Amino acid sequence: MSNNQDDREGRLKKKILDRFDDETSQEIKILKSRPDFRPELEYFVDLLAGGRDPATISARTGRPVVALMCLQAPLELFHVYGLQPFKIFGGTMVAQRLSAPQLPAIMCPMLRSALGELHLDLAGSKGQKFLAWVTPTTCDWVVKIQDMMEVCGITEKPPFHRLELPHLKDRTESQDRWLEEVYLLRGFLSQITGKKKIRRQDLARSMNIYQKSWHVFSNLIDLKRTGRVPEIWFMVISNSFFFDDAEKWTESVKKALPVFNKREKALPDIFLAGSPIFFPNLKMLHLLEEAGLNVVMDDLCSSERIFPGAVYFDDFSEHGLLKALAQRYHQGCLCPTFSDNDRRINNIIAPAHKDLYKGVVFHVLKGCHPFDLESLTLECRLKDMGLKFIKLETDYTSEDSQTLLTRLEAYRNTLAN
Amino acid sequence: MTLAKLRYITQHIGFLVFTYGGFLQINLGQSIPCLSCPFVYSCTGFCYLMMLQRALGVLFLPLNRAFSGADPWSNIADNFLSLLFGLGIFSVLVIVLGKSWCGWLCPFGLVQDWITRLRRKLGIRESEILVRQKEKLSVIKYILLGYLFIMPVLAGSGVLPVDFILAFCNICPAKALMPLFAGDVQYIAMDFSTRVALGFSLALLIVTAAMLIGMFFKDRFFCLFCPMLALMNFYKRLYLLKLAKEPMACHGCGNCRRTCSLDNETVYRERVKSNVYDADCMGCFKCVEGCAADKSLLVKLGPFKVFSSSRRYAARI
Repeated sequence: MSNNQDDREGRLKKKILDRFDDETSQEIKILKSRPDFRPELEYFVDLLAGGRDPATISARTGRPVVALMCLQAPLELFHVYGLQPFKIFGGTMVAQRLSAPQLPAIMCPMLRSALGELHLDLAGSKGQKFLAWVTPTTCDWVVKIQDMMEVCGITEKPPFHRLELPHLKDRTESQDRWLEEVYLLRGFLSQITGKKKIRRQDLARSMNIYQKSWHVFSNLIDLKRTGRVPEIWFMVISNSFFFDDAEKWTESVKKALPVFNKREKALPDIFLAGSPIFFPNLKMLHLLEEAGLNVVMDDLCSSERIFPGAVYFDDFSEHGLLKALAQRYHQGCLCPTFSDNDRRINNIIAPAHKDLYKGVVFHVLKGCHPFDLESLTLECRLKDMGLKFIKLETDYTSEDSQTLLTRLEAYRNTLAN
Repeated sequence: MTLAKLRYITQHIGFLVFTYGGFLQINLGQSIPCLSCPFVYSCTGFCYLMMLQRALGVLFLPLNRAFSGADPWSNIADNFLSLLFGLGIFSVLVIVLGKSWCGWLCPFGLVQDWITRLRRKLGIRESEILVRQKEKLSVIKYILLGYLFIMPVLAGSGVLPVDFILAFCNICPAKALMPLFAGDVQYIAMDFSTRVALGFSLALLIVTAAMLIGMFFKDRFFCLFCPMLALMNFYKRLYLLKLAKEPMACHGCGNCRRTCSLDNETVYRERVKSNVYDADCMGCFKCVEGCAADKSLLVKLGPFKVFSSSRRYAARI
């Protein structure tokens, strides 16, 4: 590469870095100026504002950071090996510019943004890299992430471990296969940390820590069901989970619970389904608020599904604990990339039988094929039941905001009728 | 108090009452639908399997009498009524509590749970081989139920020696183990009185040793073979205490299947029906406790909801 090209790229990176900071700080400003902002929520906003580079997170948690794509790898296993798992995501529009030329035109904007941010070397800006990468093979984009990193010229090449995710959940063979993968992950973590063995008591303790986090998070979910937690704050809290130690985060959520003591407005309750939403791209949530819709339930993997749910275990042998984790993270996962996924659709439909919401807003990021395909099935099922459904396809740009808002307002009117 | 703790306490109360209640002159009859072993001299009530074998044996005595020239019809009405009476009480008890007799009250079940606890304390995993063979092994309980019906009939009618009237009791590991809790060791000794008695005492020791090994490596191992569970299955449509599922609310996380001591899959796999009482279910409701979906699994007494699964309850520590 010539010096001219280097200079040009350097200038572009600097320009994008400035805009990246602008985009983030602008959203932080919006969050802090909301009338429902309270000091108890500052912790979560500050975590998101503080950046996602491994050095900062490692300094905060006192643990080396492992990058994690998707949520099927048991977090407890990282914890017991003294590691901090960090789910890779990208929510900035501007970072996409760095990765865009090398990648397909229609591609998941979240990953495009994530690759852009990595290319921007944000991840290593303070000299510390991720200790390793762990990738469960979920959607096509995630499966190809390592190749895409190379194509984008991302220099960071830590040990890369793939977990082969069986896309059938109900087969015993698939469950056994996933358990094998969890054992392989344990071997990999053992290799990178140099810890030959883990004590089953320590693993059980780590499982209890995450169980406690889930318990407190469940309380927050219950408050959300009553319409007291605006989805924006819920998203900020859940998005910030990977930025700090699980116990500290849990304590902060516990402190924040009393903030949500009353329902502000009587708006139509909806279920938000579909592609994940990540800070700072909270466009869809702002639009929903503006349109007068209240999200009481969602199934986004960046929100209510950041935890797999309660991992119930009564077999305290190491195998028993790993089996419990493997099953919960595989069978209990409601990711649309699974093939036998009728229970995911049921999960969205069942609350409607109990009148817990009035309609479903399905958010699809352009290029996010599993959700896009799944929306067809869901739409048919919901319409059969006489429920209102709207699918909104968007990306990280703001050009379509007005169109989306108009559609959402019209949708709200249909809910009122 | 959690359901698990309540169950554990109830199991211990059941154990104390059924094993030592006799010291307090408590008599709960002979139709108890759990392994309250009659060979424990301080027991409070008899396991119905013993009553059933004895009643069948006595009922077929007329055949024996006819062969030996005595009046075959004396006491036949009494014997028949006695069988019906015992069956009636057993039926009522099973209909009211269903299989929860096994999961909540059976003293031999608790002994198995103690062994499981010991294994878990030692950090030894459950045997996958035994778990995978579960479907095949659980058929044996029906074979034993047939054995339990046929042998007393043959013994009563004189085809087999009289020791065969209690053919199942004579090989039931509860007979060897439960009297130990009352300080009685006679049933783990060899009985040389007759050839049949010797054969039975040897068989009992072998079965008990095999069961102890099985119980150590597999939760509730003996329950896979227990003919009481097979007998109770005939009442499954009548149980008042029911295990119900709301399939639409299920996320399929597998907690129910993993926590089931008998590795039943019905609760996990069912996607349509509400009744998920499996043939091998012992009514412990651990699946309801472990279920992480709100109101997906329910315990009902008649039309009333007693307990339902919840996301937060499952996440308790």
